[in-house]
Amino acid sequence: MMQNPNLYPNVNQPACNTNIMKPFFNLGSVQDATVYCMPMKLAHAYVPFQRIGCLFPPMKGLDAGTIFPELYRPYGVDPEYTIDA
Amino acid sequence: MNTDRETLLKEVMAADFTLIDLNLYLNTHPYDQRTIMLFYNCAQRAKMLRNEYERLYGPLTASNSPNTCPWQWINSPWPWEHQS
Repeated sequence: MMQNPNLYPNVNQPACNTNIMKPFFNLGSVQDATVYCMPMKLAHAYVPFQRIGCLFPPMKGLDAGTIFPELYRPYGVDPEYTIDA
Repeated sequence: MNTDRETLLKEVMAADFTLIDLNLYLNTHPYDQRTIMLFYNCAQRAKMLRNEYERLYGPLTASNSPNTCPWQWINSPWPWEHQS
């Protein structure tokens, strides 16, 4: 059984001796975050860590409910996440 | 009709809101030097706006009421009151 190459020596690797969960490299940008993954375990949720980019100006942020454009997702705009629109 | 007072009040609210969001971000990113500087600048701006409002229209909170007689806090309009 080929031992998984330890790609992230300084990151404590989860016990992953089977090859089911192949290490993911740069998955490219998922929606608005570049995702670098170590070997992923089944039944675990992975949340990309926020990296600050540009911000809404205060007045727009107060109306939008956030100052981070990447977190601004009002219901009803994105058809994929809208049921009764 | 949005009076100058209400416009300035909304600016105070927006400045405070930005502080809250930056605070939440910094809680999870304590080593983000650039954002710490930004937070500091925003805090100064919020204080400046708050002082400006209180200088023109009176205290925003009772605890900011000056120690002059009579007690200022009861003067209308209260910050949240809309002037008809």
